[in-house]
Order: sequence, then C-alpha cells, then structure tokens
Amino acid sequence: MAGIPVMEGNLAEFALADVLGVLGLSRQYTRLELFFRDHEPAGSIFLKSGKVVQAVTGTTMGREAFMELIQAPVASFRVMRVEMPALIPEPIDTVTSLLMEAAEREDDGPQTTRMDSHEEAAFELRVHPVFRALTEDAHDRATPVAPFPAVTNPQSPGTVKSGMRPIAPSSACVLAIASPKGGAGKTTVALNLALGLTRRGLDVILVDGDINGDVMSAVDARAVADVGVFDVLLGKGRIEDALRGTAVPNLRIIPSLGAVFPSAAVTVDDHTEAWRELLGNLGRRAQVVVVDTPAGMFGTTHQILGASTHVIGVLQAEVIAQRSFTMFSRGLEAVDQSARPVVLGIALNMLQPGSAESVDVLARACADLPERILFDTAIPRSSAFLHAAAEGVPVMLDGAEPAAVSFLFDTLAAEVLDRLRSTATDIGVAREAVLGS
Amino acid sequence: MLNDDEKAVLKQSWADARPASAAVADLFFERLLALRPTYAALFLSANLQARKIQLLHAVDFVVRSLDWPEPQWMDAVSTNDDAVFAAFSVAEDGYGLSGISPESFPLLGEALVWALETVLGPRFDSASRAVWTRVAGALVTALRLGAARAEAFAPPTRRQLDMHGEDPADTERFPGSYFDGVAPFSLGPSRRIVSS
Repeated sequence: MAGIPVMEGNLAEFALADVLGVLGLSRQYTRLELFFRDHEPAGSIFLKSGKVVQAVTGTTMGREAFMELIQAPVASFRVMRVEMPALIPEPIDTVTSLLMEAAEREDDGPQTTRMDSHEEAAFELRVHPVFRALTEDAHDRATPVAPFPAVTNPQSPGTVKSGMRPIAPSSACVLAIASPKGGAGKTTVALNLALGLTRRGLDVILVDGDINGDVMSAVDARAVADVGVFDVLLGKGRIEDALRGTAVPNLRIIPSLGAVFPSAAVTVDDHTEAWRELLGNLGRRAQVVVVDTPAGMFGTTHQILGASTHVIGVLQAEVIAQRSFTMFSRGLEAVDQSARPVVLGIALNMLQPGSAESVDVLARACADLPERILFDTAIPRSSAFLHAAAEGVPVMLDGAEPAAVSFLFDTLAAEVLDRLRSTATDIGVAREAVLGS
Repeated sequence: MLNDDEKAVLKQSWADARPASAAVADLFFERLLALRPTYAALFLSANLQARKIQLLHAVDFVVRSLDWPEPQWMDAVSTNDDAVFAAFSVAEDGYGLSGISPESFPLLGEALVWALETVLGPRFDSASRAVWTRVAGALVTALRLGAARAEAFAPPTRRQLDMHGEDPADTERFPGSYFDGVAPFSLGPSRRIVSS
C-alpha cells in the first residue's frame, strides 16, 4: 500500500508513545512504520481517528503485533498517509487503551530499564565507603526539603520514577562557571544549575572556587564547613573532609573556606597543578563537577579554567557587563591551548523584560554571538532569588511550590546536558589532555 | 484519542473562555515571557496584536477539528481540517513560530493552559485541565516533529559553511580553537557599543 510520507524521526528524540499520541489525535488514515537501528523494518501500525486499525510485524498481526512493536528496540519511524481501504477492519482498540495495556504489561514484566541501570550504577557509587560516609553525614544534617516530584518515564508510560530521565554525558566533566564581571550571578547559576543537573539524575559535585565563599552564603551554611577547597589546594586538608553532603542525594558541595582563613597568598600563587589534581580527582567521583569561579577571568579563575573541561559564561543583561564581556574570550585565550576548556555556552542572567536597555543586551547577544552559543534559557531578575537567599535555600528548593523562575534552571540543565552529549568526543579529549585520566 | 466526554469538556471550556479571548491571548504571552524572557526581543518589535489573533484562531481551529461524533470515525477528512497535520505544516514552514526554538514549544502549551485556567477560574476544573494538557502536549509534539523534519531537510546555513573554512574572513576573526567557529563576544566597528 503506497502512501505519502508525512513525517519521520528518531526515537531517541521522540518517545514512541508520544508519536502514537500525536497520530491518535489525527483523523487521517496513517501508517506508522518502525525501524530497527540497522534500518531493517520492525513493523507497522495503522491508525485512524484515535484507533489502531491494524498492527503487523514479520511474524504477528493485531494486538500482539502492537505490543511487540511497543516493546521492540526500534530506533526510527516514518509516518505515511495512506489511502483508506474500501473496507476498514474492526479496530484493535483505541491508541489510549493499547498504550495503557502496554504499560501494564511492562509493569508485570522484568523491570530492568535504562533508568534502573543508571540507578544501580549510582547506588554502587553511593555504597563506596567514602560516599557512604558522606551520604550518612548528609542525612544527619539534612534540612528537610520538598522531595522532587515523581514523573512518568516517557519511554514507559505508567512507570513512575523519582526525578527526571537521566541522560548522562559519556564521561565526567568539569564545568567552570565564569564571568569577567562581578555580580553577574555566577553563584546563583552554578548552584541552581548543579541542582538542575541532579534533577536529571546525575551525580554532581559543586565546588566553590571563590574565596569569598558565596556558595555557602547562598545556602546560609558558612559556619558548617571545617575544611575548604583552598585548604585542600594548600595540602592542609583532605578532599574527603572538604566534601559536604547535602539534602539532595546526588549533590555534594566543596565549600571555599573551612574553619581557618587561608593565607592571602593563596589567591596570588599559581595553584594550577593543584587545581588539576583536585578537579581531576573529583571528576572521577561524580558525573559532573560544577565549579563556581571568582569574578574576572584571571587569577584563580584562570587556574580553574586550565583545569576544567568546559566553561559556561554568565552574561549579565546590562550594558556594563556586555561591554566587559570581551574579557571572557581574552581570558580564555590566555589559557594554554592544550588545557583550554570547551565553551559550552553563554547564559544570559538577570534579564529585565521591562527594560529596553536590558532587552537590548539580549538582542545584541543574539546578533553578535555565534549561532547557538547563547543558551535559549535566560534567567530573569526576580525577587524570588532574594526570597530564596533570605530563606537560605536555592530558589529551586524554596518551598513546596518554588517560584516559576526555578523552572528555568531545569531547562538550562537540559540544554547543558544536550550540549555535553553533543560534545562528548571533546569531553574525552579534554579530559585526557587536562586531567590525565 | 479523545472520547466524547473529553471532546465535550474541551468544547465547553473554550466556549466559556471565548468571550474573554483577548484576556486569554494577553495572559498567554505574559506567561510565555515569564517562562522564557528571551522572547521579549521577539515580541517587542513584532506585531504582537497579530500574533494574539493568530493564537486565538489556532485554538479555535484545534477545538473545532477535534469535535466530531464517535460514529463518524471512519469519515474521510481533509488534511486542512486536521489539527495534527496543521501543526506539522506550521512547524515545517516556520509560519508563526519564527524565533521560537523547538525546545521551547512545550512552553506554548504550558502558557495556554495557564491562560485558560486564569480566565476561567473554578470553571476550569480538573477534567478541563486534563484534556487541555493532553491536547496541548500532543500538538507540541507534533510541532516538534515538524520542526525536526524541517531541520533535517534544511540546506546548510552560512554559519555551517563558515565552520568548514569557506569564509577566510571569519577564520581570521575567530582566533583560537577552544570551540569550532565560535567567536568571542567581540565588539566590531559596526556595533553601537564600541570602545574606541
């Protein structure tokens, strides 16, 4: 039966259930053709007006063929609009009913899914003696927060899991958050992006590389830290003692400062090698290490950049920040080319939609920056950040119903992950060159 | 995909909201900009009123196209009257969506449901929310499918050509190799904010 090709796509990008949901709303007579990874056909599903009229595989037809196709490791699809036969057979069932039945069958069957595998791996990490001690410590000190909402795994309707679908980059990466200008919101971005990444199922370590210690200020916990990252750099403390668990199971923090303020020389001397060793070590303990850097692109930031695999620039949506942003690229150029991090993107922060000047910075960034380097997600200036700071929690965890702006860190985390995956080769190269692992 | 009860809920809630359709459109864009402030630039100079009208026509079309009695499921229907195929076309052509990235399409659904809920108040009950969320979700996926297809078949952009070294001027302007073809945020002579 010939037909007119209407749509095609990759099932890594679109869940099969979602494609069926779309076609189920259509009144056209369509044939959904499914293919395995090697482009061999897996079978077809015929739909009309929300009903599955027929399903066929190489060996079966009807309801069982539909169930077989739903479970099959299909990789791509094509939608054909086909001529309606003179006599349409009695439909198998509605799309909705069949998808529900498929979900029930999956619930009754073996439960090993990609997500389960990931969670098993994460569990293995957590039961490592070092991590177990940290986790227990975290639970002892944890401030109760609202649990992350459970969501339905789009790949498996009806299978409810905690958190979002984990999509990990191929190997750990060290992601510096940098800006030439102070007050651009690096700490806010670093903290909430780290949380956003954990919400997507990743193990994250957030390192406060700014001697001001603003990460701990943001969560109102400065007094908690005994050992800081600068103690570790100076050989006066161990990583294990600096790592702090948090109320979020997959998030650990290394504060900037411990109980004793380090020598002022720590910000002057070159600790690039110590940063490489430290961040390399952390990169083997988590899937993503997020490093909040001090303002400016030189000094400590320069050293951290030389030890990072990736960097995100934070551009404040105001004119002075825009004018000084040329220093972002100059700062990167000053890093030895062999150790220079990949620029993952630039996040616009503190956008004020009501201000023509602020919006103008956005418009100019869109026009002047290379295509796709600016993240789609821009963070607005919002009183929600002030409220969260007053409460001593990240905005994403401020109350049972966090402000709408917190949603944006989920979308930013999704963009970051997409870009990390697309630069996976670069990550491997950068890791090898920079971290020696 | 929708049963008769769900179609009735969809139709009734839209009928209730239509007298306040201007408010629905205002709230839709307000919510969209709250969720994605970067789009403020899109709507500052664009004809926002035209976009609002376009939105209301689109919603009206979707509700009408999904309103058919169950016994007529076998009837042949023109693709011009099919909401899903219309969404495919809109996304493939980019009509009315220029500047909105496919990653942000879910925000359109979110903004619409929020606008309806705000306008209708208690009349927008859980059944209304469920059916609108389902319809919006499916149409957002249809838009994403259309956009993905358009991208797959799009000719290479100038930027992509530049990255293959076909524009020596750009290569000179982008020193360093920390990312392919990605320039620093340098301020050239043609830009307004220039330190001379």
